[in-house]
Amino acid sequence: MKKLTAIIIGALMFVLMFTGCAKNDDVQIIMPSGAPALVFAQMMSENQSLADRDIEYQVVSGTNGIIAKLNELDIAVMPTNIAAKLYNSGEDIQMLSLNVHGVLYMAAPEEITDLNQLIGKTVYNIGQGGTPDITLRYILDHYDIDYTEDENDNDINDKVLLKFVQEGSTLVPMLISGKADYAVIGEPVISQAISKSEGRLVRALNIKDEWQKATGQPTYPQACVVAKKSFIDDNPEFINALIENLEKDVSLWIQNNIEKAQKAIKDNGGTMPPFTAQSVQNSNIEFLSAAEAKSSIEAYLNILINEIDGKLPSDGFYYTK
Amino acid sequence: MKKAFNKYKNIIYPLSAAALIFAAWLTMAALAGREIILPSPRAVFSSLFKLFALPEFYTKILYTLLRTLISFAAALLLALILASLSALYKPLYNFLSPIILLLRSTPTISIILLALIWLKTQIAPMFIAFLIIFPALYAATYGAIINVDSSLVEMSKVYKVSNKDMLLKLYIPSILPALFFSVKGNISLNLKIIIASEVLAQTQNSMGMGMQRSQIYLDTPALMAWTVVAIILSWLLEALTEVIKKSVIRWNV
Repeated sequence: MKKLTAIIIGALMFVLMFTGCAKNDDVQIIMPSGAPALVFAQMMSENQSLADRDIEYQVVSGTNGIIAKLNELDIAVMPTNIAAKLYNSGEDIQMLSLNVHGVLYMAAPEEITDLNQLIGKTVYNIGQGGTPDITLRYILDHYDIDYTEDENDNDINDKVLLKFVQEGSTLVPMLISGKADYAVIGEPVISQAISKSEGRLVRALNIKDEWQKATGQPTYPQACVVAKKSFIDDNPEFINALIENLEKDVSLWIQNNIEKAQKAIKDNGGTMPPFTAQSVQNSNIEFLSAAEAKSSIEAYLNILINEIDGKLPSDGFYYTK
Repeated sequence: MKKAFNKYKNIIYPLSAAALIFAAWLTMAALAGREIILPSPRAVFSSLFKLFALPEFYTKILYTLLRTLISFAAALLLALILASLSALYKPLYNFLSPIILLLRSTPTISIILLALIWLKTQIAPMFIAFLIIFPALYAATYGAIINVDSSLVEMSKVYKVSNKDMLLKLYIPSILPALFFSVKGNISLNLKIIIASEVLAQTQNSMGMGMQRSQIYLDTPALMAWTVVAIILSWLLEALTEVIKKSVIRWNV
């Protein structure tokens, strides 16, 4: 009798193991928390089905979270350079639109009207070698401003000293305490830092604007919406309906419905620092079709070319109707 | 035939284990399908050769090794001194016990995050490794000293052996095996802690940053190439410990 019970329980557990993996017919939309999650905030809050398909949203932490779900996702928001890298590595994805146009700003004790003001100062950035770092260096290069990472550099007074931390949130106490004066951070963290600094710090530079000035490009392609090509081929009406929704002014909706947006993101698994209407506005969430964004994206990817397997993504990367 | 097998069994067993690991890697990479999730051995080694061509590769390894050796030497030295003194003077042992316990029980991540706020990026990883390795080395040394065969100690006292001789001919030889065992295990751990801390501290010229750089751009082959380097370094450090151990023991006898 005991043996039979054991066998039955074992069989039950075996079967139950697979119920968790049940195939879900909902469309899977996955995004990292932060500004990318704002792209879908309205859709998450209203939670309507599109073209007769229900949607399941997941807000994960960081790009790693997206990579972990590469198999199950149908649609995702991700940094543009990651999307290009995946495409070049043979992933079956296509970029639908550019939706986040730059959330990076510099906090500083004074307005910066001329980048030469940074010479001799220490500028903190997030993630050495990452896109904020490369973007800032590109801008400095454009104005022939020298920079170094070495504190013991002999010409330190003629250069900008670049230092790095892992996370934007690490910079907030440093900026408040005065350990750091100049820092490149993204929304919504920078709004937090400035408001907590009690007037010591201002929003000194708009990295997006500086990038546009330095490159002559119309925008800074921070993050985009991508979809699996197979999904696009199988669900044309859904994709059309999705694009219609993304074309709406989601930024304005969020600014008028902050609490609903925050709740929607939280309910779908996201942990975000608190954001205000102002920080949403500063996050530059706006729809730009893949075709229209192409030249800006290629200019951006060119400076990151080594990180995306040495070549720009082919035309197949950009979705067209 | 049997004789030949026995002669080479020290090589055959480890080699078969390595072959098995390699085969498992090949299989899993094929199953995973994507380079980004689990690259094939070929991709990893091609990445590794690309790294060999870069001068920063060597400076990163050098600095990480230096940080490992400095923090380890400091931890070992302090552990030897304090453990010996604690064995001699019970009050010192009682005084140090709660401190050691505190260090051992604090979660590694708390130590790391706090150190990052207080210390410069070059120093933080060494401090973190020191705080984690020191209690382990102290406990191992103290345990080894206390566990010296008491009957031999008694015998030395009966024969009025000088303190110096007791130290050199009884205590040190008795402690060495356990001590080296602890050193071997802890030096690899030290390297691992240093690398992890370097990532969090964004330390210049470090293997940790080399790994992180690969990771943020999803260059998983490069990340695994760095991992292979770290593994080889660990083996080298442990092998070095073995070599030192053998020559010290020879010197002692």
